[in-house]
Amino acid sequence: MIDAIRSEWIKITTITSTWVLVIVGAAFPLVISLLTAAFDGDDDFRTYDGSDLAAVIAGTAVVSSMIFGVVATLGITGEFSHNTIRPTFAALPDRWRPLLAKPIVHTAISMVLTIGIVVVGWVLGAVLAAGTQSLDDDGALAALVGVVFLAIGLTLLGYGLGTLVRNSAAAICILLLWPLVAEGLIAGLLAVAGAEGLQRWLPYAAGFTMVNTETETDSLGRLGGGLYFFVWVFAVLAIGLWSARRRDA
Amino acid sequence: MIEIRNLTKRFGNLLAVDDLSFDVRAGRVTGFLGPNGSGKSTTMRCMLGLDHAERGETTFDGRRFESFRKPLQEIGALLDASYAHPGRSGRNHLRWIAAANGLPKTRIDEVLALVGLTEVAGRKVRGYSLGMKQRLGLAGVLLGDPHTVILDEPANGLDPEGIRWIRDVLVHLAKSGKTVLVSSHLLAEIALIADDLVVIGKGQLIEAGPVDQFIDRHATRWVRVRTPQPARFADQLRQLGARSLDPAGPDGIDVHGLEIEQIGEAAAKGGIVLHELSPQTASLEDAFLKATAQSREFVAGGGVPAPAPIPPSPATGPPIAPPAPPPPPGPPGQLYGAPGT
Repeated sequence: MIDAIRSEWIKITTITSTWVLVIVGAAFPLVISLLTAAFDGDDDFRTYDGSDLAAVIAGTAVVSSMIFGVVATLGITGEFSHNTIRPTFAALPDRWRPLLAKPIVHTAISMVLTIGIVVVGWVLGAVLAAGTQSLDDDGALAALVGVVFLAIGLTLLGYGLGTLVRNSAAAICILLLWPLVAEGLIAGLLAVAGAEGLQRWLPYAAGFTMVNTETETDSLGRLGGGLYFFVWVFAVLAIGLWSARRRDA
Repeated sequence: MIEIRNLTKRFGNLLAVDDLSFDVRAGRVTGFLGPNGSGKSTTMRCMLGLDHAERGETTFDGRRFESFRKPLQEIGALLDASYAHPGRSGRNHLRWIAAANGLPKTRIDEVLALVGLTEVAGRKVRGYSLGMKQRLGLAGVLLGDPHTVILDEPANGLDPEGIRWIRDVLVHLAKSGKTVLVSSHLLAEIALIADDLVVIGKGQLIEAGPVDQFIDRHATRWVRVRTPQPARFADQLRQLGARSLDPAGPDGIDVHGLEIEQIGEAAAKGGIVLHELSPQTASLEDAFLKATAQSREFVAGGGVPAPAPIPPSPATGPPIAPPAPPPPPGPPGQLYGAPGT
């Protein structure tokens, strides 16, 4: 398995587009946080407590998580579109090894980068806001930890969709349009139908509760929402892996 | 040694490989031939477990491919030169393959030098020509110094020097005791390097065995005669019972259906001057086309107009043998009836 992981690490780190996406993903929340502080005309930023700062970091890091999900999607769909999946399986005939090594590497990268984003964002924010924040402030620590889990979940979801769909455009569309369009439409329809209570069961909506500093009373809560989101993630991942093992390469 | 037994693969309603069984022996180059769409590439993918066979199995020295944890040291395969990410450099392409089987980095430089890509190893694959991609693919095959080598159209895109190089490599590998299976459209190349042939059509085995045996069985044999009196000698040969007489240049006749000794004696008796009397055998290409005639999926229409037949000599009167019927549509040169086998 170590050989497979090393091989996947080389694959991921030797493609320029991956680096570009990863750098954009990592820099985005930091740049947005800095811009928020720089253009904060009313000097509100200086009054931010830990909860406010965590909300800014978490809110922007959601975009990073999505980008990391896209990187994971491209990591596997690129294998199919360039047919490198064939030499991969020819080098590692037990398909479980490469199929599991790749998400392990992607998840590790997403996790480390997101932790970095959170730590740097917090330290930077604390410096700019004159150090008035504490991780003990309402939901600050929970939201920041939730960001890391959301990044892991979206990375695995992107990879699962990629193994299942095998097409970059289609998989990325599902990954991004699902939360940005589909869930919004479904939530709207549920509201019209008077079934707002069901909105909490939308997977992304549930997943996003992990990064909220304040949890709404009708949501599944951070832990419940996170667990429910990961049930979806692992379901898609399991179907994708089963499909990649069973189908012709 | 590779043993393929009862391999069957279906894509929907299409039976791509149909109960295929054959052996590939060690120490020999085995050419894998078949018309377009005959199932060669599918067979190779099934052998390596990339496509799941509906039935049957392939073993490499008695082991299934899936049982190898580090197969590159046992089996090297190049199914398509384009199986590389265009945004990755040639060296990095080999790095991930080597890492997958725990092969040392030093081996990457060795194979790059072996295939002549050291200078361009840092260049991205999208900047490679087809020939360079083939060489990169071959470098990947040779990384683990495998005992079995499987190549699908390895000469595609190579220049004449490259073709000669791959030919030498394959022959060298076979001579060192390795098992080499190679498919190619370049039948002249296969004729030069292959010891054995496996010929398939529509997913079924047509023939497997030594190249000589295949040509003996399927290739046309005839005798070429050159004489300053071709028309007169053609009449004589008709009387002798020649099955067909095809023109071969201004003074040549390709004689089918007579032994070379009969022709020589007839020339001596008739006082015919001969400039050439030589046995001819059709190429592997001809033998292949003949063997797979019923299995070709795509056949081009039309053809090249046939040359005019050799007319009977007015000096010798009408031939004793009945005149040949008009030639059926077919390959050029077969003017006096189908040649024998």
